[in-house]
Amino acid sequence: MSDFLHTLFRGLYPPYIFFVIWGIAERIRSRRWCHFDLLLLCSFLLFDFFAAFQVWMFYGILETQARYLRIALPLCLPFAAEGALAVWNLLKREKHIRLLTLVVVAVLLALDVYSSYKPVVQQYRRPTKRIGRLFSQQAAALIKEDWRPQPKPAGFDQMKCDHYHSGRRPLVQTCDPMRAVGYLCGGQEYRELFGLWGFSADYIATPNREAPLPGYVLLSEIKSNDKTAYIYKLKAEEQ
Amino acid sequence: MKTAIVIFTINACWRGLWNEVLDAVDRQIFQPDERLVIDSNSQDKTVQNAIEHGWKTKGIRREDFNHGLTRTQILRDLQVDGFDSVVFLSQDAILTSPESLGKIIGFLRDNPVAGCFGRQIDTRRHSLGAWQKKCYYPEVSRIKTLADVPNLKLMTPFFSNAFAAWKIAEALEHGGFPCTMFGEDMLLAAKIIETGGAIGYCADAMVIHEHQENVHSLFQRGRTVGDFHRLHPELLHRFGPPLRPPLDANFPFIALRLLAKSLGYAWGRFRVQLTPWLIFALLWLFLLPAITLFDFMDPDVTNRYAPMAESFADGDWQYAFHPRIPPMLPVCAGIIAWLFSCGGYLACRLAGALFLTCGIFPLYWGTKHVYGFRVATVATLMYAGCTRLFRLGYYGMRESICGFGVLLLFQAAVRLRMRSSGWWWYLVFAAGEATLLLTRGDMASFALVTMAMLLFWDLLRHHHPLRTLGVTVALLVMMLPALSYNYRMIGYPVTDVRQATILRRICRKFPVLKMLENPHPQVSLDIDIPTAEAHDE
Repeated sequence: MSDFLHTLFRGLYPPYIFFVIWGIAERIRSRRWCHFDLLLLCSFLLFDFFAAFQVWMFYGILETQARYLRIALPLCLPFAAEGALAVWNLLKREKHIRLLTLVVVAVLLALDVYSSYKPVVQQYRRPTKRIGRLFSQQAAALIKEDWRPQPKPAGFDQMKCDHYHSGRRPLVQTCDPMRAVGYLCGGQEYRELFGLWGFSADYIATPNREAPLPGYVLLSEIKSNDKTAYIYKLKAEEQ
Repeated sequence: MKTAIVIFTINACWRGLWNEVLDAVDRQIFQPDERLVIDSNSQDKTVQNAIEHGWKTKGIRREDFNHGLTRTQILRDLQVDGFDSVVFLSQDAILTSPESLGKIIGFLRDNPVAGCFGRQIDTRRHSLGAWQKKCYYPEVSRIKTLADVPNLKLMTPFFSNAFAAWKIAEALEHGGFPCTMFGEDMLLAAKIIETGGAIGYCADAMVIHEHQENVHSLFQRGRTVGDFHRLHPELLHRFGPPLRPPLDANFPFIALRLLAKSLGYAWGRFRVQLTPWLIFALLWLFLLPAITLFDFMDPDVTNRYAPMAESFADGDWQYAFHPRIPPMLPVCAGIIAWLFSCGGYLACRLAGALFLTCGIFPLYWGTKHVYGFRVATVATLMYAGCTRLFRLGYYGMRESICGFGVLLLFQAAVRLRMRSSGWWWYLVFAAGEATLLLTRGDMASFALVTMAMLLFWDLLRHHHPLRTLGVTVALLVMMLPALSYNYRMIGYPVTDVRQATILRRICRKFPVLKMLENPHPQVSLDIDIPTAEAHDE
């Protein structure tokens, strides 16, 4: 429950909420609040309500993601802008406070730009992400080179209404942070669905040294610094 | 003619010309009956110097000063005191000869004009001001009336109070100067010309009038003129475009300054239209490095959207669509992949970024119509600066497209509230709904509520639901391919497999709705109920 509430809070995008509240208060105080404001605010709240409880309505699970809620964020930006302008009008009266505000805004803008690019920076700087990225690319290249196209087995093209698969091979069983290997090597990730249909993964790419599954042989090891990833290949007779 | 000369001042000593201006007036052969300085809280010796030169002074608070209204008030006061004419002079305009005042008053007296302005020159070599003034202030005097409009266009009502003389009674008969912070002279001149009157230009009465020519002041000046043209489009409509001075040998010397002033003009005149485009360009500028450098792949994208987009681009329809995934993102990304021969993952990110950036326009225009230009600009900047929305723009996920749909609904709602005529905004509303439904199936609840709101609005305003019905039909047409696909595949005309399960339940309760079912679907409608742990979306 606390996770759900935390997600709800993050979905409302806290950096703007202060300005939204200020903007609404400002419009009410200056008697400019109109029916359209109410419509806009209600639309925003309704959207977030549906986004928050959609999974619960379908599956009975109280779970959502912040990004679903942020879709409606632009609806409250007019209030946030009103609030930001009202705050600025209040602060700009004194020259030294105005200068200080501009400095704070400049710092916040710099942080904003950094935050926007944070995932990009992290994938090069954070060790786990950097290694995951390197392993994925190298594993995909190795599998692509090793894979010999084969005719699709019978039943491979069947469809399940709530699971998409791209109909591509090889099927690569992976785990985080290497889940993109299947796509990158031209095939797709191996999921439970294929097991239910009786198909085995053509390759297994994993950063964990596990005892090889029966029917698989080690194709290659990828080393980066002190980490190693392992690629196993389905034996020819098992295919 | 009882004449007064009036100068409006604010820190006139700052440029060091104030004493020269006063001395030049002192040297005039024709001396007006009254010399008046209207000062706006100058902090220097402006008032003191004026008094020393025998001028009468009056004060006005800066916040009360208005170029139009204050001058009109002066005209009224002078009329009460029995004056027939007034000369307005700028605090930095220096009369060039002792005859200047006499000549402009003589021109005003001898010709059937309500007002006339004198010639302004710029003595600096290779200055932008000299180049422009050569064109705007020719060497020949003339009287301008409605008949000159075809030739002179916007130069017909061109007028400058920096050095001008007015017949007080005639100026007041035309309502005086309108309330404005720039161009009050031109607005009154235009009014006089439009009502059949005339204004004059006296080339023999001359002043030296020069402005600073640094980039900032030129940009500001250009912006002021642009603002004036934006706020008074009727002038351009009635008289035509402004005159562009012909290029001459000076051009290489003034090119950069002209560019600064032109940019200022463009910003002043078109800033309402330019603002969203600038933010659009800025957002793309920030997004492109992220799209190029970011290659961490979300499983949703690698397992679904990217392969679907590639299948769409390759014409492999079997894998380009799926009942679980509404087709908006795969189709848009597929079109991008096909157009630019790029991979599905890059295409998904480009599609996300495209919809994120396009969202700027409905947000900006919608907000501007209700909350005004400033709020719209700040709101759009906040949209562009929202880190989480920005990230969604380069992740290649569906949420950017949903956001665009929400913003289309927002803009349509604004225009419908404004009672904009025509079906266009109803169609935009339908497009917004379709964008939502074709992007995420779980948007259906919100789409239903917004349709109910539209119906309510329609009944309130038109007392019949025909327009809402029209929107529903348009929406169905837009969604027809997706509905047909799902009808064929899973047996129900819906956009998402979860909606099909609900519709199936409803059909079981109300057998009359069975006609909506396809009895021979290609895929059975059995979905796995995820557990809290396994639920990965």
